[in-house]
Amino acid sequence: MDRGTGSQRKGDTQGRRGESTDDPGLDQLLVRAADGDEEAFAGLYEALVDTVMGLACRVVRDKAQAEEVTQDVMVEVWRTAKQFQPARGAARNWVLTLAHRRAVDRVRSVAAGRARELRAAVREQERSFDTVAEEVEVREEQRVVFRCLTELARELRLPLVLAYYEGLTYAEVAEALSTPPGTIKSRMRQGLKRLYDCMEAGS
Amino acid sequence: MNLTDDPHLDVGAYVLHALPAAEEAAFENHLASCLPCRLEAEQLSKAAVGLGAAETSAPSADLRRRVLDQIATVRQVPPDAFASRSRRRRQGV
Repeated sequence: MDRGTGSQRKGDTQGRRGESTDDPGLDQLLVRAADGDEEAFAGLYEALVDTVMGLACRVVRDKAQAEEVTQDVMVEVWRTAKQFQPARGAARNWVLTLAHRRAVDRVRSVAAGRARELRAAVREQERSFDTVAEEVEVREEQRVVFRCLTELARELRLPLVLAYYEGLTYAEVAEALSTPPGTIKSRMRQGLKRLYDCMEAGS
Repeated sequence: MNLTDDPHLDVGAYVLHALPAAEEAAFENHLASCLPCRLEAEQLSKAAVGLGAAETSAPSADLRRRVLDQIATVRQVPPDAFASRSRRRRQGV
């Protein structure tokens, strides 16, 4: 069965708001992959590989390494597919959460002397955010995310992007922003909640 | 009075994978016994996934074949929650 990327299912607007990207077809593919169905896994791969690779590129900043991470993630998806529980969240979220963890593990493992780079990371995130936010050729989902990030106050946005895209721990974020660690944890929680509410309202 | 002593406070950092390994393990223990925390973590992780899906990039064309070749040799683990994580942790990663 070749169902491509499942875009034909995007017309399902009766799904709850904010879950328009939760493709039930992908959940089914992952459940079948968990039963050892390699064809279903190939369908899942095709639907998600560009997003996994995009995330890996953003975090590890090196195409060859990002591809290694992507390969590693996809094989891990296969290996641990039986642990996926559809009731606990969509397949896409499950795969991207795993991908983010692997990408962060990769940058942390090579991050000797990171402290020196913290301030550079702050500048880089400010700059790349400004650049990306201006791009017009983005998917609707991306547009919503960027708009919601823009609407976040800088003090809430920076901890999110430094942790998520740079792979910094909350303590490193605290150091980079000269802010107490407890405050950073609190802002991460608050920032994600605002982002969630905004994405729900806008999608 | 230390804010960092409130385990609920860690949920955002946890979802962003921004807790060091020891604190992450402690928070996962807390999650196991805190339903509201699990629900909040699931909700916040949707926002994090939004950040993760912000860009796409096509890998080289032969990655698909490499992955499909590789999975043919990889055995799937049983549906044991957190099994792969705790295994990773025991290895000290």
